[in-house]
This record gives sequence, C-alpha cells and structure tokens, in this order.
Amino acid sequence: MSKVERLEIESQVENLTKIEAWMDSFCESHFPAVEFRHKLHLVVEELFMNAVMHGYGGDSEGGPVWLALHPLPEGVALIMEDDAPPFNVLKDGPAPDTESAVEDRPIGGLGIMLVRNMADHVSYEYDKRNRITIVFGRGQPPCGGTEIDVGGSAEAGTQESAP
Amino acid sequence: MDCRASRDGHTVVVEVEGRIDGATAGDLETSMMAGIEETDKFVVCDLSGVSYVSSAGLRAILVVAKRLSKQKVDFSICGLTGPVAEVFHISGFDRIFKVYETREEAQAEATANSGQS
Repeated sequence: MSKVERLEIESQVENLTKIEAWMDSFCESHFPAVEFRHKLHLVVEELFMNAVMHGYGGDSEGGPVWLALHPLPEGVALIMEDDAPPFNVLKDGPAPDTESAVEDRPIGGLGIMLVRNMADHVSYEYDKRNRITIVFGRGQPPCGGTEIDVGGSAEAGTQESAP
Repeated sequence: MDCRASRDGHTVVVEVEGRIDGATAGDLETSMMAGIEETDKFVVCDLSGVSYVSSAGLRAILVVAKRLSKQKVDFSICGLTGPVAEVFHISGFDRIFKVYETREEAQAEATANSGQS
C-alpha cells in the first residue's frame, strides 16, 4: 500500500531546494512521469512562496509549513498547511491580469492562476491552520489536514497495537 | 540558474540556463540588468536552456522588461520549450513579449529593425 509522505519545514525561501528533493523522491517511487513532476514542483513552489512572502509576511517572521503527499488510485493529493493568519488565497488574492501590455502589467496573482491551471482540484479551508488541498489526476482528496493520522501517523498506522 | 550575456553590435543575447524559481529569480534579475549596458538597443533573452520557470521567474523577467521598455530598449524572448512554454502561455506572457522560436530569428528581427531606425 502506498504511503503518505510528510514534510514540516520553516517558511524560508532557501528551503525550496529541500522541498524539491522531497518531492523528487516521492515522484521517483510513485509517479515517474516527468510531466507530472513539473506540475507538482510548480504548484508546491507557488503555494510555498505564497506562504513565505504573504502568509507569514516576508522572511523576517516566518513559521512552519506542513506538506503532505497522498497517493491516490489515479493520482495524488497534496495538502499544504500554514499557521499564518487566515487567508483564502483562492478567493481573496489579487486577480491575475493576462492581457495588459508590459508597461501596465501588474505583478501579482499569477502564481495562483498557475496553480489552478496545473491542478485538477483546488480547495481551501481554515481549521486552526490555513489548509490548501490540491488533487492531480482523479480521486477523492483525503479528509482533514496534513496531520490527520499524525500522532498515529503513517508509521504508527502500520504498527501493531502495543500490548 | 546560470545567466550569460554576449554582445554583437547593439544586440545583447542573454542566455539563461537551469531553473528560474523563487530561490533564483532575484539573481536572474540582477545578472540580467548587470549584463545589459546603456548603449544596448536590443536584448534577446534565450531561455532554451531553462527547464523550469515559476511565477517568481516570470515576475523577474517582467521587471527587467519593464525597465528596458522605459529605456527604449527592444526586448524579445526565444527558445521556449515544454513546460516553460506552457507557463508562458497560461500567464499570457507569450503575448506581451515578442517571442521567437530560435535565437537566430530573434537576432535577425533585431538586425532588421536596427537597419530601419
């Protein structure tokens, strides 16, 4: 059975490389298609950078970001959570402008637009943390957040109950 | 990410290689601006060696293009492939910039324009 992969990481730009390595190792064991890997990288970067730059308000403050990748029968679900003030990036972020000329083009909103384009399902909820759920391919996203079975966690889930 | 500028008359070709992501976009902006001189009239940004670009990368390219546009420098892009071309297309960036398939086409266009002015 496929295992859920989790990563807890500080919201610093320098951590992007670590996140990439984490995603690549997940892809190597589950999704070798290069096209999918690119989508996953892009979506995770956009969401992570958003948490770094906006959610936690720049590099000065920062806080934890929780990532989880759930293999689905026909795809994968990604859940990202952060502890920043509640903000629904899908609804309340700036609208992207894809029409204006170079001089007038505002800078913003592009990241989330790319996320929407790359993913097959995107949703936001707030439950003590900001939580974004993304599905690539088909399948029911898992209920709950990155820590649904933490405490239990994937490892504990496979353990026999202690006598 | 690696960025090199080479000059031929008033045309500069900026060749970018690697990933343009949140961690490298700032460097790209700095090194592109450093590679372009005041006397340059045409800048061709060759992205054929780029395997990945995120919105942070698009933003860096847009910042450079806006600055060049103010300085009346002609800016074009070439060598978009695969996922990079897709990201340019989704964001509409392939419509706000002059985009050519190859560096030769972009340079030929720059040369033709410089002849007219």
